[in-house]
Amino acid sequence: MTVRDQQKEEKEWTCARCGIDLELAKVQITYVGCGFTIDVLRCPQCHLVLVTEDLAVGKLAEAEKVLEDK
Amino acid sequence: MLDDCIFTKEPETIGVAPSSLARPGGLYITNRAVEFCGFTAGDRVADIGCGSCGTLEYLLTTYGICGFGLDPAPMILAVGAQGMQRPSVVRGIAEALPFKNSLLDGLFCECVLSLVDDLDAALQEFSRVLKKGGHLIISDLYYRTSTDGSRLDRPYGQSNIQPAISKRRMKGLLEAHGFNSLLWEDHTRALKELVVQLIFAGQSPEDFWKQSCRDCAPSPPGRSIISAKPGYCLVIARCHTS
Repeated sequence: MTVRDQQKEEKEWTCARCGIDLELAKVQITYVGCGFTIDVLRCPQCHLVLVTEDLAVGKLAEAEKVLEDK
Repeated sequence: MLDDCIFTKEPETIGVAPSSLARPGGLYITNRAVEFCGFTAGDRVADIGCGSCGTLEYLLTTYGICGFGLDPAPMILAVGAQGMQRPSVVRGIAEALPFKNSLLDGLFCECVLSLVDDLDAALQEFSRVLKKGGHLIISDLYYRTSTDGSRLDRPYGQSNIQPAISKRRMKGLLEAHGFNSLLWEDHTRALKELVVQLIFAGQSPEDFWKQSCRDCAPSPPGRSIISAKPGYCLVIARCHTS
């Protein structure tokens, strides 16, 4: 995804609870005992994070394979 | 200028670079090793495969240890603060160290041994240049599933890359070359964390391994290493010959 695509994506998502546009943010995640920082869209108010399908089936799936020795 | 107390021949000195570390555990594993070995300022240590000198810079700034660096393809480096004692970096390979016999208190070999063509020759050299009682620090990939001492397959055919050896084979090699193993720690979690961070940064694991070889490797070993599910370990051994 290019920076332009990312900026476009940022404008396309709004938090259903707060009605605020999501912003790209660094988020700490943990999985099977390992911690990472990733860039994801997040509501600046309630901090709800959007995991897009692209992220779920792409980088997250690839990371899962590494972490679980698949 | 040749320091004939240290080098066996005139080394090609390079300089010192700002560091960039991309190896499992980063300086955490280096720090663990320094504390385990009890190195202090004044100890003579060398970093084999020093690359961009991250370890040397850390040893100097954190412990006041001014080490020597050796690398077949050292980076052309900017110098540190003027008047500051700086590590000497020389061009060379692990199988032919430019140091005099029984010179060093410690040898760091971080993410390097898996790239060495001739492990026996390298370990022979490590034993030669270390003082009796000196410490060898190895942090590297290892083959978690093998117990027979075999190396990984080489799917790239002509590649000289020998990605990893098993724990048992490592211990056997160390004993054969005059070392007593003092410590074996698994740091596979650090390896996984680094690979995952690279995935999220948009870099493929294969590219990481190419970078780990610092462009001196003849072909990319990435796929063979990743598919073998390697582990990462810290090994510390004491030289009992001199």
